[in-house]
Amino acid sequence: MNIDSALQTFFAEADELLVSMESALLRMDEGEKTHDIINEVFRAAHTIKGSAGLFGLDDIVAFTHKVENVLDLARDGKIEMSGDLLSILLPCRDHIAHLVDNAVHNSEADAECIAKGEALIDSLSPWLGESEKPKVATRASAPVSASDNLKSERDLWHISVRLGPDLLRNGMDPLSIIRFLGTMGTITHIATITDHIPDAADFDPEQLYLGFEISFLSDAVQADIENAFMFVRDDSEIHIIPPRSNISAYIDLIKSLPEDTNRLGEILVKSHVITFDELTAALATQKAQAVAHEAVPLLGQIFIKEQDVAPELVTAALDKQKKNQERRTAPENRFIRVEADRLDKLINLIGELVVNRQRVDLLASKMGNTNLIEAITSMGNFTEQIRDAALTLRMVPMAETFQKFKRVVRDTAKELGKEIELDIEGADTELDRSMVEKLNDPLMHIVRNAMDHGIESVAVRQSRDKASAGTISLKARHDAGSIVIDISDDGGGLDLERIRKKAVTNGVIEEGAHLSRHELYQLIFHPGLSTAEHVTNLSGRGVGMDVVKRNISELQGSIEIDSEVGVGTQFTIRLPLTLAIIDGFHVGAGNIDFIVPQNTILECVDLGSLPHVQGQSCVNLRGEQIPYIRLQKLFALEELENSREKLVVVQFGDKRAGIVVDVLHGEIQTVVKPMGPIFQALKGIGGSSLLGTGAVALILDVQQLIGFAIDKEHSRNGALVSGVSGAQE
Amino acid sequence: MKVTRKDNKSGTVLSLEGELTIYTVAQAKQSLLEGHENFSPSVSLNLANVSEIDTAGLQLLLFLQKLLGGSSKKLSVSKSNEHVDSIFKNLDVTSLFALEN
Amino acid sequence: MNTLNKQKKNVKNIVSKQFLTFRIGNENYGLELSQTREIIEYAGITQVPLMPNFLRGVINLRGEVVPVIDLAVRLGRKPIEVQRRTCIIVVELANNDQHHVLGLLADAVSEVIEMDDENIEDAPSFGANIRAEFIQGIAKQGEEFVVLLDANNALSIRELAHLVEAELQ
Repeated sequence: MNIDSALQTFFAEADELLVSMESALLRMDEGEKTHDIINEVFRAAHTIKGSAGLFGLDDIVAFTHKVENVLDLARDGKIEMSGDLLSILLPCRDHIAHLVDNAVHNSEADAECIAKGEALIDSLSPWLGESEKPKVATRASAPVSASDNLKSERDLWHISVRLGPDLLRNGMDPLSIIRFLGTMGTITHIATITDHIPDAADFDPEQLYLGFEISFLSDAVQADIENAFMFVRDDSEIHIIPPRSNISAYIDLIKSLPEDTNRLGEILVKSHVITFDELTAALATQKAQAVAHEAVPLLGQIFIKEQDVAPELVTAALDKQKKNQERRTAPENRFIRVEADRLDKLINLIGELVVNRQRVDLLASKMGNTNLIEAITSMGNFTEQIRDAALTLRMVPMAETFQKFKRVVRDTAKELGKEIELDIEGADTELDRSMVEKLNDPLMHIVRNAMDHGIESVAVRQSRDKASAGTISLKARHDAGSIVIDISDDGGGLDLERIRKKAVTNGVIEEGAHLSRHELYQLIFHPGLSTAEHVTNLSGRGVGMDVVKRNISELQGSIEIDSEVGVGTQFTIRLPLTLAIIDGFHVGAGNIDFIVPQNTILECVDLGSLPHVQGQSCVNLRGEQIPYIRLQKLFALEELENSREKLVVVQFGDKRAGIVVDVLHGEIQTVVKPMGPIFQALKGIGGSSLLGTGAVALILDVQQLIGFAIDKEHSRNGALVSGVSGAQE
Repeated sequence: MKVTRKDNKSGTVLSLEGELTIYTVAQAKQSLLEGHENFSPSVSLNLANVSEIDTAGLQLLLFLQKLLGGSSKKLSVSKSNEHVDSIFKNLDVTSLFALEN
Repeated sequence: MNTLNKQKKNVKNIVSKQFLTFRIGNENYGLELSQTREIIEYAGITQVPLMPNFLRGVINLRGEVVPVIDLAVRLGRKPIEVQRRTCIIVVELANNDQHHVLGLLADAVSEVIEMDDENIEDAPSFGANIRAEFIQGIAKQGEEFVVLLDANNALSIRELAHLVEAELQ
């Protein structure tokens, strides 16, 4: 077991638990205070503490332990999850996150951090009450001698530990595990087995020779105790005997251990798990029988003869415990953690498979062998299914991203003294994981801006006859092969005049320049232009919106603004799914191969067969006017002789337009290859792809292409191209 | 980790100073064993200046005890500090070294 | 270069570098061998529309789409005319954790030479007809001069991207 990888697992797990903890706390804050949800928070804290204990991350254990105690009381209904308590638990969660972060960076807690932790624990103390204190004291203390008030000697767990020899070298310390056990109950007795320490010559001080026999008083379930040994289990021998097990279990243990029987027996007697009489009797019986039958008797039989507890009861109790445990852990087992790199590698390979399949297709159809073509077609179907299944592996719902904003909005609103509600829609919309990560910052900027500058103060809102609480909504949806995310607020809206003035002052535009509404809105993405009157610690630093624009562009996406003064502002981010592999339609224009994303195509028709609108690049398609662009003209491509031009009708958002090409080749599955930074400025081409022949084809970004065409037209004629047609007419 | 040896009337005193952990045990073993053949029958450890000890460190001391026991020498702890005490208690080995509290 | 000379230099611990030399028109150029990856035959470049002259298009290099640069245009010469010996030198540039792969068009590839720092003269401040920062030095190879290019400057991705942007506007 590699300590680093175990630690990494812990960090990843802690991150997830902290997210679910936060989410649960926020739901409670919204009034959802079921037992389940309190339990969720408790479990998160408990597990973090547990795993941290294994790695000797004492800061985390100590702090989380206090939090867990409070949660435990709440879980038992002894204290109420009030708003006040939640307001302390949220920063407590943050503090745990901070401590975990410290551990990730291997840095010590600074004075500020320590002070903060102490302050938080102080603020928790009213909920901890008196009953808690002695409990903590017992738990923290070192082994105490078995106390007289144990109801039955066998109320104790017995844990026998022989750890792997390389444990110390791997950076684990059994002491951490023992200390951690101490947080789950009381170690009533511990014997350190030194029998295996060799003589001078062989003794390797970095190898572990020690074993431990531990008697343990705890209400924990077996799985929890087992978990304490989770990271050392692989090379170690660990026996855990539950309380009230029958004597044979102990005898079994003694026999299975390499050390001297009498010595181990003594330890067990000393630790009060069995009495001396029981031990000698059991050993004697066994010995006698062994002599008599010359065979090892079943220890279970000894038990049945000599104990008055029905074994069925014990088994039943254990089964029940096990079942509870299974039920509890069931949801966690639905996921397995996979390194992102491995996934990417798989997806790249499948990309190659798809391209190769195309090549095989091509060859087969050239040969004209029908059997072969059939076989390849059915293989192709599977290839498609494999591709689709592989791609979904990388897709994650927006929920986790949106979730973060609940907290941000809640905290920021408090800080700003505003009332703001967050409305979330389409949280289950899935998006490529790599995009989600890059989307976080832009979304954060926009939401913070909306809270800071968009939503008015309560007083202003009331004077405007608006509800005192402002609303910010985050909505995600799929639309024609794109992901659309709307971020809207019902705040003051963008003041175009103010944007213009600021832009003039900052020299971004000239005094008296004529700009459309759209162009004015786009100005707020200009570097150095921020409309905030006051610089706050949230936004208004003049950086942010330009970064937003850049980040979105890097994702090959676009961002639009719509706003009305006094009513609110809406940002619409449109992103391609940017899947590694897409369904495309292969066309040719000039001497270049192009691919139009299949999901944007409505139909393909002969251009010549359609009536043209007089004097415009526009055709009448069944009564609908479709403006079009010629790729050959737009891209200044070679003009083909005798071209029978085809019109590819595409839709994006609610707009329709036509793209005129020379040849239609047909549907194709294609792997998107980025074009690289040199081509960053090239509009209308979203990437490249390899054809079955090995040639490179360029993938059209339909929306950008139309935008590019309009811009070009605009700069040539000084007039807008006859507006792109609306879908519903 | 620094080991200082002193022989006086009551026996050999080994004073340990610094960190006694997995990172230092290899070197500490060398220092502790140096000249152990001529330790007096009563060897006592001064652990008051041990800044940190872990299972590996403790195991080394248990080893030393065992080794000396082989030549009928007795190893005990004469001085320790709070940290060392707590580790000894955690693993319940205090009595093995006749550690006085 | 005679052996004795070489040994002496090694003792003095002088760094020697290997260069791949090639011809563009009737001029000789060299690129640091460590920055080159392979040489491939010229075949099937896909044009990318609206690009400036120096950007000849893209090729499929075993599944990777790689831009191809006409170095002649970049150095202010006439564009390379494709003929039988035309080839593409694949270079790999690394800067700021990023690595970029580019293809360079060349009329012909000559050989690999080893040059000691001492035998490399500084770029002349005039007369070479090439921007000084594109050159890391001039080496003499028999009777001919070889212009040793500074690939990171001559093929700066940032600058190439700016040129593309300018072309599009």
